[in-house]
Amino acid sequence: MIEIVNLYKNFNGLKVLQGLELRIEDGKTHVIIGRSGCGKSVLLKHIIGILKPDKGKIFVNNVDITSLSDRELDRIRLQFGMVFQGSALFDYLTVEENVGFLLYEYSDLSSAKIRERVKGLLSLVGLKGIEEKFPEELSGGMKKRVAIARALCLNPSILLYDEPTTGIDPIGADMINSLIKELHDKLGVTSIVVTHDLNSAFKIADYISMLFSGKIVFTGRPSEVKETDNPIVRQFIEGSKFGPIKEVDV
Amino acid sequence: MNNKLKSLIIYFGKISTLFGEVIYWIFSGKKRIKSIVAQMMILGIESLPIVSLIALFTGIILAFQTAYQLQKISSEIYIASIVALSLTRELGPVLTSLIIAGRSGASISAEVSSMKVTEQLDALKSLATEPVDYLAVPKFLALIITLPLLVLYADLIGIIGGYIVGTTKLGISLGLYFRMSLEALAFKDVFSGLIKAFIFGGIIGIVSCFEGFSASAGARGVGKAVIKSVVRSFILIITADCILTALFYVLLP
Repeated sequence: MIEIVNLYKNFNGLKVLQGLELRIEDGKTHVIIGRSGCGKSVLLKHIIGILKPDKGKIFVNNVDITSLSDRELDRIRLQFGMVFQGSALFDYLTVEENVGFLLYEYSDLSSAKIRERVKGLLSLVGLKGIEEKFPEELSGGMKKRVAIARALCLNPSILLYDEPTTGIDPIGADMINSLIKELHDKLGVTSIVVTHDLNSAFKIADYISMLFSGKIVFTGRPSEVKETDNPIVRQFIEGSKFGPIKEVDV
Repeated sequence: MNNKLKSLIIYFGKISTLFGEVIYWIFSGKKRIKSIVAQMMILGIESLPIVSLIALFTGIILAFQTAYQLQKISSEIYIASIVALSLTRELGPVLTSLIIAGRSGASISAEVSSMKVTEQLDALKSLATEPVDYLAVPKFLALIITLPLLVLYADLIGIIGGYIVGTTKLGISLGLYFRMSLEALAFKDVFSGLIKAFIFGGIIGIVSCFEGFSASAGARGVGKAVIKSVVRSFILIITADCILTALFYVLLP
């Protein structure tokens, strides 16, 4: 289980997270929604320890990762797989080297064994025959799938997705949604997805939380989100410019 | 003025911290021999054409300027010694380092800053890999190994440039020219030049990686990182050269 307690983060005086509290249950897909720039990606980077909070604690399976050294964090990070917004594939490496990055770097497996594993991971995300290609030769949707395959390399128990459907056409986005759901069902992982794409959120989520003004203002099942009277959530899901969320609020 | 001094102190603090991290990871990180060799090729060996051109022309120019002075006292024969000494002690290390700072240092800061703005550095961290260990260490090691070798090469090419003038303008034979060059050179001359190159290589590696790691978002951030990397490397190389030359003057009289 992941538990975030009283998390604060400022960037050059800009208050991004302000006492955020969140609990994420094992084996569930938890989607965090909110406006662009509201701190969703910042939250995700705190959960994997890339960013350090100004204040607050993050417990991953009862270990407070905010108090760990970089070396200890690296061990915890191996339980995670993260898919970045722009895929963040290493552009000087081939697809095979990207997906098998951890194995090439840290395992004693032979190249043949790694190639086999990479092939398996690519087929899990619905790709084949692109091992020798470079990221620049792939479409946005394919890059996203390769990034998911890379994140799955060491069978992580927690998958983090940062805006997985952003920048992809609606059909491609739906395919990514199906893939996230399928991987969740097949592998039983805990998935944390941040997005402002409500179609995606309602399709894949077990729970949805809304981030606003640096705090989680609502958490519930998708059906509860649809029916809630919370004015902030209502305004967001209705996509209205009238309501408690103002233009300047993120 | 106070603010500028404060920023300067903070800057030196930050690059010293990165230097400390690089040294830490050299000893406790993974040994990436393949990556170091690849970086030596990209940062060093691929610079050979530009280094050759500049070293050759520097040797020629130096020989002409020296001959112009020496002909007044009918001692043109000494151009070989003066060219060899000037190149190995000073011009070889400084010019080669400035070329590498402009070519390879700029390429490092552009590469690392692009990786930062496209979240590839965060992706490395998410894959339990420290960017300093994975990126900065191989580049740093490649530069401190390659730059002294490039300087030796530049010294030789510069001396050949001097010989071209010596033989065409003054009719000095190949054997005599190189004997005059070698007789003028003591071990400490070559050694001090190589020590300088070693230190300048480290400066380029640390400064260019630091500017890449500290880049702000967007294309402008990448551009700024490259400018800062080249300008700051130049300033630090010339400053270090001044200090080292004074130091060698005292220590190796």
